[in-house]
Amino acid sequence: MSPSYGPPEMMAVAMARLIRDGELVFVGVNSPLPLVAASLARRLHAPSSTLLSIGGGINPTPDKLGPATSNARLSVGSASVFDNVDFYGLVARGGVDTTFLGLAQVDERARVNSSFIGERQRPAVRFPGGGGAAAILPLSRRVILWRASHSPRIFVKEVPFVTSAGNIDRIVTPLCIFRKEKGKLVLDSLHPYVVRERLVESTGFAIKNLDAAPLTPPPTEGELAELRRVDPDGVRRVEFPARELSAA
Amino acid sequence: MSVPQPQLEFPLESVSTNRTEVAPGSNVVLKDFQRELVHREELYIWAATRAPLDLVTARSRRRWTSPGESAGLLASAGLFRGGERSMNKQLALEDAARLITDGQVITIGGTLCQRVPAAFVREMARQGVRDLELVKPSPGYDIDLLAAAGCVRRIRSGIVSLEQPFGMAPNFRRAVEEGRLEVIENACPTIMASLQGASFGVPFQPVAGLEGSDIPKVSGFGKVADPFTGKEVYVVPAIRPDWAIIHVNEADVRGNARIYGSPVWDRLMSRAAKRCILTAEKILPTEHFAAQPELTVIPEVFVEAVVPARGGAWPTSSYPEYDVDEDAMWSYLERLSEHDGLARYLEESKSHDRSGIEVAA
Repeated sequence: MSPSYGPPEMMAVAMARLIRDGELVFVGVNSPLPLVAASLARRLHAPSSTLLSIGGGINPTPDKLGPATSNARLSVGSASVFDNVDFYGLVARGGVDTTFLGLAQVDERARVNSSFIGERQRPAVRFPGGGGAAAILPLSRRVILWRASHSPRIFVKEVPFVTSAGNIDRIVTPLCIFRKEKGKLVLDSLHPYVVRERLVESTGFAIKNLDAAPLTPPPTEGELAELRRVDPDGVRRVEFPARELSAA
Repeated sequence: MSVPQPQLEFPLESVSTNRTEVAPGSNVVLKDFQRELVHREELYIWAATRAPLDLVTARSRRRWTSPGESAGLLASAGLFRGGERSMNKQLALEDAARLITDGQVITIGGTLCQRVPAAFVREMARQGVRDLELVKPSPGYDIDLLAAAGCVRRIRSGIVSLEQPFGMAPNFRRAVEEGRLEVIENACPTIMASLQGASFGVPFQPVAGLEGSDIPKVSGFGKVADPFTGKEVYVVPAIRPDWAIIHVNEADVRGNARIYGSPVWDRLMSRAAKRCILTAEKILPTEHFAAQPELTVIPEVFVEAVVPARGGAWPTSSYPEYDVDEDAMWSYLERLSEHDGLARYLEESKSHDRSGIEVAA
C-alpha cells in the first residue's frame, strides 16, 4: 500500500465518489467521515451537490471541520438555518437524494441494528440507537451506510433487532464496499490493501461475489491533495479504533 | 479540573453581610451569582431566599431586605411568584431546579453535546430528583449525567451519544445494561411527532417511514388507515412533557428568547411542554427582542422561569459563544469512572453553575 493513504483516506474518498453531482446530500449527527466526504465531493466531481448539515447549514463554510457534526458551526456561511424539524419534514416528503447513516450491526439482508442485543428491558449490549434511520432508510432516495470498523460482530448473519431497513445503496467499511442486490449484500469492491481471506475472516456471513469483485480504485494524488485541504486536522481518522489504523 | 468563571462587565465592590443597602441604579449582583435581585424604586429585594447573603454591590448602599421581608415586599410590589403571574420570571438555578419534581416527564433542549442546559442538569442531579422520564430525540451529556445520578427511570430517544471524539455515553449505557434505566426505542422523528402532537393539541400524530423496522412493534406505535385515501400510516401518541428545559443565547426576564445557530428541536419542545424553563447566557431588556421580534425563537407565553446562566451549557457548546470544551468532557468521563466521582464532579462544578446571575438592565 502506498504510504500516502490508509483506511480513513480510502473510506473518505470512496464515500465522496458515491455522491453524484446535483444531489441533495444529508449528513447527520455523529458523522465525521460523511462530513469530510460530502465536503470533498463538492470540491471534486460534484460541485453542484448540496450539503445539508444537521448542524443547521446548507453548504456551510466553517473555518475548519471538527469531529462533532451536530455542531452549530456547521451553519456558518449558510444563507439559512435549517433545523432538525425542517430536515425530517424534507426527507418525509421525498426531498432528500442521498443520506449517510451509521450502524452498530448489519446483516446479510441489509437490515441494521443500532439499538440493542438481548432483552429489551435489560440488554446485554446497549447501542446508541438509530437516530432517524428507521424513518430515513425507507424515505431517502438512496442511503449510504458506513462503519469505520469491520468485524464478525458488526457484519452478522442475522441481526437480533431491526432498527432500520430500506433504500441502502452501498456500505463502506475499512476493508470493502458492499452493495445491496435483490435484498442481499453483495461485495462491490475490495480495497486495494485488503486480501480476500481477511475480509472473509472479518465478516459473519458468506460473502457473495467474493472472487469476482474488483479492487476499489485507490485514491488518486488529486483526490488526496484535495482531501488534505478539506480536512487538514484529520477529522477523517477520529472514528477509527486504533487497531484499524495500525492493521492496514 | 478547570472550571471557567464568569466575567463581570462592570467593577464591583464586595460586601459580605446579612443585611446591606444599595443605591438605586447601581449594578448589583450577588457574589457567586447565587440569587436573584429585583430592583423596584429604591429597594433591592432578595427574591430567592435560601442562603446567607453574600453580596457584591457597586457604589454606595441603600436598603436591603431580609429574606423574611422580601416575600411580603415582593407580593405588595406584585412581583411575588406565588400568586398572580409576574412578568419577571427570573429564578436562581437552585430555585428553578426545584420546580422539577419526582416522577415528572421532561424534555431537554440542545442535542448530544451541543447547547445542553448542562448547569441545570447538574443542579437536578445535586438535588437528587428521582423517577423522571426524559423525552428527547438526541440526548447526550444530559442523559449520561442523569443516568449516573439515578434521576431518570425511563427515556424515549432516537440516539444517545456524546458524539466524536467521545463516542457513546458510557454512564447511560451502564444504567441501561444494568436494568436501572428503561429505553423506549424511538427514531428521532417519532419523538418529534409525539411532541408535535402535543404542540398541536391532537392525541396522536402520523409519521412517515418506519417500514421494516421493529421499533413500532416494541414501542407500541399504532397504524391507522388514512380516512381520505385508505392508505395505512404509522401513528405515535402525543407526549406533553411537564417541562422543557432549554439553554438559550439571550432572554429577557419575561421569557422571550433567541437561539443563534440551529434551534435543533427546541422551538418544538417549547411549544409541546406544559411549561418551559430557560437558562440563558445573557439577560437583555425586552426592547432588544421587540426590535426584531422575528428572531425570537421562544415567546414568553410558554415560559415559567428564566435562569441567568452564563456558561450554562458548559462543557457542551453554546454557539457562537463557546464550543464543546473537549478537555472538560474528558475530565467528566474520567471523574465519573472513579469511585464517588459523580459527587465530586457535582461539587467541583457547583460554584460555576450557581454563578450565572445577571440583573436585567
